[in-house]
Amino acid sequence: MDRSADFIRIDNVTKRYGMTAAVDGVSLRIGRGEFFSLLGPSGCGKTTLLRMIGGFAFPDEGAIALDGEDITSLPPNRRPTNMVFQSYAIFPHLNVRDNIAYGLRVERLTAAERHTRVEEALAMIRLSGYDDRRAQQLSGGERQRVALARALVKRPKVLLLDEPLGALDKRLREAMQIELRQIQRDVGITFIFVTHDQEEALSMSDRVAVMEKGRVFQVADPKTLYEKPVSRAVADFIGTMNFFEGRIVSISGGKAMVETEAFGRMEAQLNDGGSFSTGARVLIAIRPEKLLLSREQPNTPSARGQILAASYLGDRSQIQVRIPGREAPIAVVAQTAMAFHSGDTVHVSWTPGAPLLLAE
Amino acid sequence: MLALPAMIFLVFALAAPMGLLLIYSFLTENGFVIDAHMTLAQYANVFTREGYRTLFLRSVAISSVVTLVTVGLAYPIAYFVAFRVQRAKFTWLLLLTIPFWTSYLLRVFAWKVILGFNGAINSGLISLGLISKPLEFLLYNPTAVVVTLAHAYAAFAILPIYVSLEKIDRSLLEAAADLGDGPFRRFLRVTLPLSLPGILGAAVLIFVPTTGDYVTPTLVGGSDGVMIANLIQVQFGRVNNWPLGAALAISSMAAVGIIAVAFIQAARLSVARIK
Amino acid sequence: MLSPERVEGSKHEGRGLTVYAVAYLAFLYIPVLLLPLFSFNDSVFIAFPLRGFTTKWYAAMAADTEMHAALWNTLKVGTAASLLSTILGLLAAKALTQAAPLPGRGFVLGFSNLSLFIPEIVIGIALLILITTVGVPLSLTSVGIGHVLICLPFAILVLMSRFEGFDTSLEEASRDLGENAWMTFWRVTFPIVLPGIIASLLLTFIVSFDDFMIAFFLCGTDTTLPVYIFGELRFPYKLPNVLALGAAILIASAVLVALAEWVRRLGAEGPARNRVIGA
Repeated sequence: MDRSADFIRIDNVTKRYGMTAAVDGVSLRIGRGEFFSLLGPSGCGKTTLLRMIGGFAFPDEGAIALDGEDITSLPPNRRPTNMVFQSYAIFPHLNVRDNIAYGLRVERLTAAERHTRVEEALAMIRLSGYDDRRAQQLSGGERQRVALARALVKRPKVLLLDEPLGALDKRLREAMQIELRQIQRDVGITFIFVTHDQEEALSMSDRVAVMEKGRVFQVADPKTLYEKPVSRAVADFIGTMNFFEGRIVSISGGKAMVETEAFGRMEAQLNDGGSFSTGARVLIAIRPEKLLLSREQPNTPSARGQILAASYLGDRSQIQVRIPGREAPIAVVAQTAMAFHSGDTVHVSWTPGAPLLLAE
Repeated sequence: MLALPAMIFLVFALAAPMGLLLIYSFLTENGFVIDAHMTLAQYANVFTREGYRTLFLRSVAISSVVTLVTVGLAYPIAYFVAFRVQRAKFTWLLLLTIPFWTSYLLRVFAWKVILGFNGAINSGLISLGLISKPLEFLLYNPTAVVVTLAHAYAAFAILPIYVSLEKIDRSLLEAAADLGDGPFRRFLRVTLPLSLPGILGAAVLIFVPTTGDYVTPTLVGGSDGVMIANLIQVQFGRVNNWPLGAALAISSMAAVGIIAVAFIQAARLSVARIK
Repeated sequence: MLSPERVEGSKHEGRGLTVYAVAYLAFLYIPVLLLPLFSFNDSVFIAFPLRGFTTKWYAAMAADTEMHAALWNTLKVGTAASLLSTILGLLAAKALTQAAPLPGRGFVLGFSNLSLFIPEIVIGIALLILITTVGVPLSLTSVGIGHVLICLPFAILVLMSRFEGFDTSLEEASRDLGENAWMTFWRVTFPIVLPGIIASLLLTFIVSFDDFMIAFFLCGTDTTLPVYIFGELRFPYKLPNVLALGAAILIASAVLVALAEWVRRLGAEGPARNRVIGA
């Protein structure tokens, strides 16, 4: 996949509403053909940023460039971008065919060319034969696909998607995630996808930018984000994470020895982000599925605790363990067939290399 | 922005005229010339002349009765459409509002025709043999004004009350029933208080315009049913005392406004005591 | 939308209310229906018993040139007033329902509806003062201005309810797909709001057509139909003519109103409701 990594340049963009900055000094580089997601909780600025790329809002500071062209102040109809709106915005007074063909009027194609493009689009979203239907006659998923086709038929350089799957039920959403990814690969267009659902972002994207309060905390591919979050905020937002407070005792060779109350001495990987010194207060972060439970005390460092609650979820079990000296229970995900019950005494340990070092 | 054209129009067509009206009320008329010195003379006239006071009180009395009657008659029908009609609501509402859209003048005229000495009621009763002489008390008195206005303003009452009844969450009534209230108590303790905004809205929508009504007292009121609007109109007609007319208009609007606000407050307080 | 469930009452109580409802409708309609009834009655007196069917009053009405002039004036004023108030109302309704946190939204709404709460006689005399102070002669134009004033709240009300369910992202989508502001209005906004526009035109026309009070003060030498009718009511021998005219007006307005309501509801459940429903 040829990626010119600077296909989209967002340089130090800020947007204020009143006193608050919805988007605060954000800089991003997105490559051609990338499936790029903006991930964060409500109000983090991801939609505002998307709308600025699309031309529905304008930055107070900073610039946006697309394929070498400065598009910061262009109105939406002059940008080579197209948007799939959260409400889908299907024109209720037009049928499916006219909806999809709507944006082709300005392109001055012949009637035959228009017809071909619409037919291709309908085939791609697998709604051939639906041309005469109206919005009210379509299901949510069908409307979403029509919105997608309507945008793609214009062959934009970038497709912007504003939480397009939020209104669909779980099964349909998962099916659409796969389908969207496939379409993106087939068509080769850069997708910028906004969502608050981290599972969704991780499963679909080439890279994800995690945002909160108008700032970008980390930009990385899903695997890196999950395994090497650079801050507590990112780690907390992506999946579940256990945090343990501690103090650095010594540092050598990319690893740090940390004294924690919960587990005594733990060895943790030094992350790329942030520099640490001996004596510093830090957080150790471990994913629930990297923690191990055993009935007998293992050879590796561990802590003894009691099971607070255990939920069997079919493919895995979620267990909460309380250890002394720590208020919040530890979340563990186990895939073994071992039966765990409330009140059982267990020992908690971890797989080597699992602990991450994060600033407090 | 978008609302600007409408706002500009309203400034010229509503704010400016009302402002001028206010100014005029402070002027005096000398023959055909308007004396530009501001004075309270007209207001003094308005408040000291006993005839004016009587007329104003009569107008308020008539409007109050009209409001009571109209709202009282409208509530059951609004209740009917809100609670008892399932699918034909639109039809009922349409039927109830169509008469309202036909010419007000013609409707008042229709009542004149009905209540007249040789009118429909009298001639009908005579030809049925129920009376031998026409009834004289039907027309040209305050009662005729009340009946006519109540008929004309019916829709103003029905719609606000209907809207507030329709909005009531039915599960509130179910909860009340579950807690032991029978139909009457449910109505008194849940439906009535919750429909109060609609009732008050209807009351204001009827009371305020009817005090200033001109057509009805003119056509069916006779000399006993004269209302304040007749007096105002005359100042702009043959008497030609515009400042006095303006002062009459402004003071009666102010007085009506005060009465309406006081009434709403009183109504709210007394209904709030229903537990 | 909650489906109203029947409040449990006795069957007896239910029937009583239905009887009342029918009686109320009768009370509303009978006075109004007497006019058409007597307009076909062969008698100068509007009294029972009925004397026989005739259409001569309608013939007389058709021949009354003075009435024709007044009717023509009323139509002119009505058309102008309905067009103008609908245009102003369209812009205002869009502003009121779409730019959500519009500063002073309450003020705009209150100000535009204010004319509903001021007695028409007061509006009439206030405008009379304004126009004579400015020095312009009274004419149909002054009547038109007064009518736009009283029609505006109706236009705004009807159009606001039409805009309420309007998804703003429809216009953004149109811009996104390449259309400029004007074409967006023409291709998206206008077609969807059209039923509301038609309803507003019809309703405001009726309000203007029926208005007596403001025309009474402002019309100068050209009369409108209601002013003409009011004048005719002084002469008893002319009453049946007025009846015929009145009956015709009543029926025409009833039809127009029903039409306006029907158009307004057309697509009240349809086009403008672009809600996202889960699959």
